[in-house]
Amino acid sequence: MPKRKHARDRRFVSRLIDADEAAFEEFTNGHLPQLYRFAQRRLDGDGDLARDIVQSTLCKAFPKLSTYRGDASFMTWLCACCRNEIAAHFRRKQGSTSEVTFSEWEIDVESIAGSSRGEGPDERLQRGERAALVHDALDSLPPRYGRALSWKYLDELSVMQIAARLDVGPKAAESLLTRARQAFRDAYARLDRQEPRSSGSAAPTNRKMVLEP
Amino acid sequence: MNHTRKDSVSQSQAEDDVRRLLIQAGPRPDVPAAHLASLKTIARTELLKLAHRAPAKGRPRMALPLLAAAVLVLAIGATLFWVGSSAPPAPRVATVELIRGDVWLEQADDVFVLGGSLAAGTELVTGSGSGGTPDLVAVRLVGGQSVRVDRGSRLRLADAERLELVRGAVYVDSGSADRGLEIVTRFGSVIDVGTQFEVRLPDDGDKPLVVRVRRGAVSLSSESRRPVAASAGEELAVTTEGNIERSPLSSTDPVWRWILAAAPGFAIEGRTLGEFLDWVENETGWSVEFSPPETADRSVAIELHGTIEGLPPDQAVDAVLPGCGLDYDLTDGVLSIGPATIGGG
Repeated sequence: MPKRKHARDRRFVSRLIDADEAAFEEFTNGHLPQLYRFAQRRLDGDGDLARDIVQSTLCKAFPKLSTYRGDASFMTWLCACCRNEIAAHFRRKQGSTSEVTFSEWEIDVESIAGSSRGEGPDERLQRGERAALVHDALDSLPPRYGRALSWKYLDELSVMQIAARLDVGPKAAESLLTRARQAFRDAYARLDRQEPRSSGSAAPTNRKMVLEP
Repeated sequence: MNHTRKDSVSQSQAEDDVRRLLIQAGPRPDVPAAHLASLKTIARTELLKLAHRAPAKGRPRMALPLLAAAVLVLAIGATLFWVGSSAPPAPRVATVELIRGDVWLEQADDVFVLGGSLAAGTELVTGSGSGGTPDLVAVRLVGGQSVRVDRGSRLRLADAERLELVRGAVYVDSGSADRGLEIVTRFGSVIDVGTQFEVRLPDDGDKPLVVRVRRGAVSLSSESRRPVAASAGEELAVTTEGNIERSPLSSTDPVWRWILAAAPGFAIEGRTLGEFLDWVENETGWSVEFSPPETADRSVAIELHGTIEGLPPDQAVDAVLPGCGLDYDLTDGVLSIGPATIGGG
């Protein structure tokens, strides 16, 4: 059930709105770096531009935090807002006057599948693109899922060590890892199925958003 | 097939798939610290705007100062006891730490003296420096921030978290203060959380507002512009057309020199050399190193005696280090300290 699935995110956003310091630290340590990487991968690795885009995203999204309903994860919601800013950037750059039909604040889980522009499935087979796909999938997850998977498979930490870092018991850590693996596989599979886009545009193709070059 | 074993095989396969993908992809790239600091400042600014509109729910809140509650209590108390003709006294918001040259107060009834307190609404005005005097002043806000005002300036202490720069320049060192400070100008506002920065309104040129950040990050905003963040080592200049130009700025650039002259003094009597060098580093932007490194172990605990009153930090090292049997070399912002050579260099 989507609403129960993201109830934790709804509570988290509620704490952010209440200016809860702990929630803010969790946001800046988890969501913010993921959002930055999400933007950077879609801007040819331009870090300065990614910073500016994420800044615009925060200025647009935060006043609307109260509209977040938990239909999708909070990370998905942020990435959708960010994708709009990226699209607007490329529209300005290209001088396009096309309109975006995407509904900024009503999204579904599928719309997270926003990969780098102009890539077809053949290019994806190359290592760099596959790594980007993996990182995209990780960054689409709740931050603690991505962190737990990195600790487990890249840092080779034990379940006990991961449990200590997450401040949970070992059983809870194992359960979280299981959920994280499944969530990662689902996200990766969605990204891998993504249709190739029309050229010259940053926004993903999906049934809700079309950007004409 | 046993249902449990089939589940175990697919679980195992699933884990192997995930492991392989993650190892092949490698770790996600780190976000540059300066970019993260800028974005954190923006996020905090935007969330604090929400918090000020929403009712509190009892959790520990972000950077909402206890002083706000204290001021509220003071205001309520003052209202109860001052019913009638007298207006409640304005809260004390700063203490004077340094006065050099031609400096005076306006919109204030306080006696302007070193160590004296200043009320909200006070305007600090410094002379132009044309008489050969430094015309500088430094105050410490009740929140702990050090505020220094350059010559030719007018700064209003609106309250403990908001200063209004009418002309000239102000430098802020937030130190370990746990609350933000807003510097308001007619060209925009600068908000900081834990920073060393300067806000300047140049009299000439085509850039009426310049913000320079030495440490930490600030957010520059106005009604007509979305917030723009600046990080350590950056200068933002707002042009007369309203554009923002960003350029790098070293922490040891000569533009920072005036703040050394306005630095409140450091009493060395009974303090250690390590504490003195921390103060020098913080004020000058230099990096302090010991060569050879083991010199540090012998030196940082040396207890100092005497006074360096009247000496700015960059000149105080000349007074202190020889007395500790040390010499130094300053190159490219690095203060390298080592044992003094016999007979001098």
